[in-house]
Amino acid sequence: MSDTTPNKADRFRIRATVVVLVVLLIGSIWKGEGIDHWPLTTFPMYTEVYEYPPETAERLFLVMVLVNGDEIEINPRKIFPHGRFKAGEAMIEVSFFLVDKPNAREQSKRTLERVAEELLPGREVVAIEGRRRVWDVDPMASPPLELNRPRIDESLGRFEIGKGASH
Amino acid sequence: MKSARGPAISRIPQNLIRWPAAWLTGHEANAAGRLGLFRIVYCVFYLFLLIEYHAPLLYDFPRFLQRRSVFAGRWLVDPPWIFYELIVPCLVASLVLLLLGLWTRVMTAVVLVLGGLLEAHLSGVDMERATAFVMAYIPLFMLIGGDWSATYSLDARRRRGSQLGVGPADSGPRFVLPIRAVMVMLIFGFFTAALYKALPSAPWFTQDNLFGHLTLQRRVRNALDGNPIMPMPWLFMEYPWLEAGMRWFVVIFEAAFLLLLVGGRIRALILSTALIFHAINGIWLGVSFTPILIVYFLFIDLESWRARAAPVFAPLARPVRTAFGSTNHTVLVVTGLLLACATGLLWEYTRLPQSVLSLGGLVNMVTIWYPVLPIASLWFAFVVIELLRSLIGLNRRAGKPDETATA
Repeated sequence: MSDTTPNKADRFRIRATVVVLVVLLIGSIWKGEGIDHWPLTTFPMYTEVYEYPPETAERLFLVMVLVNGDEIEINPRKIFPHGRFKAGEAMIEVSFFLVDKPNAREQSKRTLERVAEELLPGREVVAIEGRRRVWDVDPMASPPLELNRPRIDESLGRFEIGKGASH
Repeated sequence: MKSARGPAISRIPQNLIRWPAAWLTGHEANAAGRLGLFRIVYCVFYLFLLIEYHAPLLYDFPRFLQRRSVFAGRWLVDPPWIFYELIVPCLVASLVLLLLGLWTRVMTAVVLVLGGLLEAHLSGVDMERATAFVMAYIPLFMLIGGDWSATYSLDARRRRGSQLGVGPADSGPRFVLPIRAVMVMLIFGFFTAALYKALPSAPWFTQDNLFGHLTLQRRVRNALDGNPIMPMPWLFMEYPWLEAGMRWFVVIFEAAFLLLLVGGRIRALILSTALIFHAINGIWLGVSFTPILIVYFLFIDLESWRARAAPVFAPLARPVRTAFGSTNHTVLVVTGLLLACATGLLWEYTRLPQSVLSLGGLVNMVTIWYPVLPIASLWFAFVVIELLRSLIGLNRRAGKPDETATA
């Protein structure tokens, strides 16, 4: 048997919910961010998202590089064959971005060092390597880039596990 | 002489409070059962999302690339390494206890606090995460106004022993409130998104061939990530009217979330369209709103699904139910605690729970949308047919002479 009549506790719940709703709605309007992010972040919602690069294929990717910096990809499929790396698949997907600011490259290297030094010793991992890869892009082609032949493919540092960071 | 307007005007402030309260506690079928099942689905989904998270990596993430969130900015500017090491396994253990429905209110609060702190740091690196609902709003409203422990939980089992249990069909205010409160936030989120896009200063309508560039850019990104590549990218470049149509469609679609307030088939139409929209974005455009998927389960009558599926699974469920019913509550509590601790530890030191949740890597943030797209499309088609039928039925009735009047 269903009872839908609010009792005293229910009335309190209703008031509390209404108050919280009002605070959240006013808060998100006041911050101008939309509820998708507030109160978890202080990001504005639609500032960078729709700033698209110009038309041509080559520049399309290069502008991405300029905006985000060089991209270092960690490819653990080669480096972590046993899949025993603590961060696992999540780590695989993480990319570090170097932006055109002082010390950016150095800081990202230090991040890789930290991964090697603090997270991986004693595990069945051989090494961790950061690489910078840039492909020639034709976004209209299928696939839009020659995945196996990046134009630039250089190592940004290899860190032997268990021996400390060295590169 | 007093006019009737006087009392009517004086009732407005009262009604301003009464109407929202009445809407927030309106009827939702099988609300108690739905919330209990939703709690289980929510915990599994949250654990699935945590597979992608690796908090320790943020320990030395370049500071100038991070944006300070409200939580992290105020409370934990620079947390020690132990924070990053412990937060995920603790959150995992809390979610397991919440899934079992053990100390549900306390666990809801723990999940809210730990999830909020974790997300505050992670969103400092990646803003487009759409996790506000899963990490904040759902546990918040369950804590303040809701009760998702009344069914399908160890807490409910204990209460039934003391004759305080409720049935799955109960639709009391504490079961409807969180559903409607989350719906308000969803409506507000989409509606404000439409408003932001419609602002004269926004690039949505002013930028040249926005969808064309977006499609091309995402194709490159998807190719790099090994995800499906959107076919026919030239469509938006060749046909500007199609591109303009897409812009208008998105704005109208987002504003149409206001119609969720209406309920019924209109609600089903909006929700099914939203799922199709998210699925297409997630699969081909690389605009993944995967964390928001869980919100839609809150508006579906999971209890009626369970009731329909129950006869099929009855031979399997019967021995489990018998064993569960005859086991001492303390034994179940201790087992639940051990399971939670074990899952937290295994999460930290192995990949076993993650592999189980992702079905050996088969399910990820993109592939999870593969089954959603056809199911949502069928749902959409069904709702449209139902709507057309009811419209045709209305027209026929309107066209017929009034038989009662003739009689």
